[in-house]
Amino acid sequence: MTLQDLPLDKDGFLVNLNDWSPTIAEEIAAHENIALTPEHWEIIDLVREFYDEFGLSPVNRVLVKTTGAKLGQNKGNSIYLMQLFPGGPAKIACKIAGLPKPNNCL
Amino acid sequence: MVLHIFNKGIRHRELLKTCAELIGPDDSLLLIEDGVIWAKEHKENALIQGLLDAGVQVHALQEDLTARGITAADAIATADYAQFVELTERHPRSVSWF
Amino acid sequence: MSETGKKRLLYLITRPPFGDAYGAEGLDAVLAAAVFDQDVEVIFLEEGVFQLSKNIDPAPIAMKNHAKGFKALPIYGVEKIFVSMEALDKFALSTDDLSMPVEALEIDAIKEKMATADHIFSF
Repeated sequence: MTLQDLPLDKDGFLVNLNDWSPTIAEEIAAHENIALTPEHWEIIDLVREFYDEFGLSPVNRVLVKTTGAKLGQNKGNSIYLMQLFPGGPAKIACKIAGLPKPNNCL
Repeated sequence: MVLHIFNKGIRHRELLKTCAELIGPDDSLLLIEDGVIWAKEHKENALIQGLLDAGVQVHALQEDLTARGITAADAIATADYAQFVELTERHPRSVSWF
Repeated sequence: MSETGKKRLLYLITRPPFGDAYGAEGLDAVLAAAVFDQDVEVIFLEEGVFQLSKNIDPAPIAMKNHAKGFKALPIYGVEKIFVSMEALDKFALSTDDLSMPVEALEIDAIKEKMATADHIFSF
């Protein structure tokens, strides 16, 4: 399975959560011009855990807060997350993580 | 022998009352979906207790109990989807109180 | 309006989960208000308390578990979450039976909150 075989919504988010795999994540990231590093992966794992626990894709403010709580304050800030996922950390991280687009994400 | 199927919660008490008045001693009641809330032991289930006292068999669908994290009172028989099918086969008629 | 200029928004959740979409829609509405940084309060009334049942698992009925989203409310900045004491009593529940820490309110306290909110939404 590669990304082009999978149904995507108009914003490029996976339609079926079960279609996701780390390989698919690499492909989605490539479309966003991001080469995934361990630093990206710890955020991707974190948003996937958040979704598993609450059934929600976190918005930016919540991603910052949760990252701070789980990975420390030097990572739980917008600048750090923005560098990893330019253009909207919560939205891009959720997209790469195979999750739905965060609600209320303007 | 009629199988009465009820899928509504406490806010539909009047409908359950109507249903309860029309249940005969050989009939059965099956609680499904939000209806499984009536199967929990609490102050709101006097109608169900009345039916049990009259000897009516009351069942609640296990899948819907599990979904809602609700445990049925001891006097209520739980039925899974397969047993739901058996119940409909055992009763010549069924009515869904939607 | 409170002195901070934020609107006080009160959300009433009155229906149990999965029978209809009101609970999921109520959650979405509360999260939206929280993201826009309003002063949000949520009260679970009547069968709405079943949205907070501890062991919700809709896998057997193949539905999405929206209810676990309520547990994220504090992370979204919604700290004022209440249940009706009358509803708990009716359904033989205590706050220990619920999926998250909440405060139980008497009817008069709920009336007071309704009397002082800027807007009230019922789901």
